[in-house]
Amino acid sequence: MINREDIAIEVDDLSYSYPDGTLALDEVNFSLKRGESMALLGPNGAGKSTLLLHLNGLLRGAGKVRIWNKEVSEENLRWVRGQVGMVFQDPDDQLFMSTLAEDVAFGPANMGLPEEQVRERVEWALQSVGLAGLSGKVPHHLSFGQRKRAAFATVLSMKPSIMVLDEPTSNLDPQSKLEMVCLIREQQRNGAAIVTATHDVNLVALLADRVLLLDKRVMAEGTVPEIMSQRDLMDDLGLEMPIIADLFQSMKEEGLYSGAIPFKRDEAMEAIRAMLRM
Amino acid sequence: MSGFDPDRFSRLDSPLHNWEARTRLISLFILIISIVIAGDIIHALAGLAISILLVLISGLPLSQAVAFMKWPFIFLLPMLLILPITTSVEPYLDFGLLKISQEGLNLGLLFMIRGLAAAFSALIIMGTAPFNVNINSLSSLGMPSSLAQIFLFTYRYVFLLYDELQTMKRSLDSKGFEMRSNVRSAGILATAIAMLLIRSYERSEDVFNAMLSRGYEGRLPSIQRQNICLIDLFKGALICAAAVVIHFI
Repeated sequence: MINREDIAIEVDDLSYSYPDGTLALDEVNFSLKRGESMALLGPNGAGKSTLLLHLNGLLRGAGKVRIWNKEVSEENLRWVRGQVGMVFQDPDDQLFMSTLAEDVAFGPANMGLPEEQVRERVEWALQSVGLAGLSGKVPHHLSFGQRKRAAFATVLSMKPSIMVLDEPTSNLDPQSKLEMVCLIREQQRNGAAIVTATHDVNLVALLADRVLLLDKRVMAEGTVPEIMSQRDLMDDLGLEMPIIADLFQSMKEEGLYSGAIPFKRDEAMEAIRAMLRM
Repeated sequence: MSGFDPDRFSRLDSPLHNWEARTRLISLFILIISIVIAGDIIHALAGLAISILLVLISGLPLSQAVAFMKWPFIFLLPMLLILPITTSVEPYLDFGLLKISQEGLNLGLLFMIRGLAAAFSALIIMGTAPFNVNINSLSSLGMPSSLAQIFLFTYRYVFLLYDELQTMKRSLDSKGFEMRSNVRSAGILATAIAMLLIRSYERSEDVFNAMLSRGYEGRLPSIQRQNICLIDLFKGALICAAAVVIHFI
């Protein structure tokens, strides 16, 4: 029995077409609970970013979007934007102020927090993303990886109960990707519900528990193993399985392996050890 | 990371850099007004001397400051050249075919010295604090918020535009494009510039969405507030005194 109070996001029959008539979303339905992390996967042009913009009230399509059981409407947009923090794909879109501190302070200040509290939030958010000491920096003087983390901090400072991330690991080096995954998981541990649009299939198991496959409409939804081990489904959408899962799935198909498909390195190591012991 | 950094001198350490932004702006504006209303060459030279002294105190590299002066110099040069031969006030310096009016020469020199002195003072304003600090200070002194936002966003995104220009130039170079004075070159350049404008428009929409998503309702919050101390007022008084003294030399 699901407690309705625990439902962070509920999307009912959401459809949206761009002004030129292009259909972007077609009767999308899903829900996400408090403390859950969901990956949004789909090919280019599948409507992932468009869906995310609806969760923050930036786009308004046909159908319903509910945040903590309140339908998003013109009247409660301020509240919605305080609840749903959105990190955009290009950090240069998100870092528009002259200094990093001003950027991180932008959200809390707009929420009407007192100046002292805004300063505390700025300090805390920059500390959390490992950018303490760079508050006076001009955004264009930061490296791309730093700008990605700074963009995360600009949302973190608002302490949103839901975080919506558009390609947070794109164009990052492997180390920075793992740091970003840790940041996302930390917010989940703190109770935030998280939706992450990504193309990085190898990171999905690390950053999410559930997967929503989108191609204008919901193609499949379930846990990471349920969805990511279906090679045909992934192939049909022009996606690929995570490299570890792909290898073990191939071994399974050839009768070399019979256990559960691993998605993480530790799980794969354990499976290989078990095979060697046999 | 952009290599383009117009704020590079604002991170120096000097009595002018440490000065609270609003009092610094008001005081230097008073000095500039005093310089531009100087009635004769002696007073204008005094203004120029004070401006150069302030540049030296600020620690801004003099060579860079002088190099910057070529722009106001080029702008003012026509006055210095035209006024002596177009002013019809005696006495004249007679060079045969060319008659130069002493009054016109004085006027041309006065404009040139006043202009250079004012430009040196403006350079101090721009060189001793980051651009955003100056704009935020102007905003807190009454400049309309929408105008301040236009300046701040222009400043923030001019770096990206510069980077995109560089990328586009590299892309053109890599495809063997050489700028020639023909229609084809002009067409390619126009297409490249049009593409930049379209990208700028798309980015402005994305930035606006990012602002809305964080609760933007028309005003930019500022957390960079600095208190005015006694030393700031003292520095202001010194500059204002210098602005007055110029006219009594």
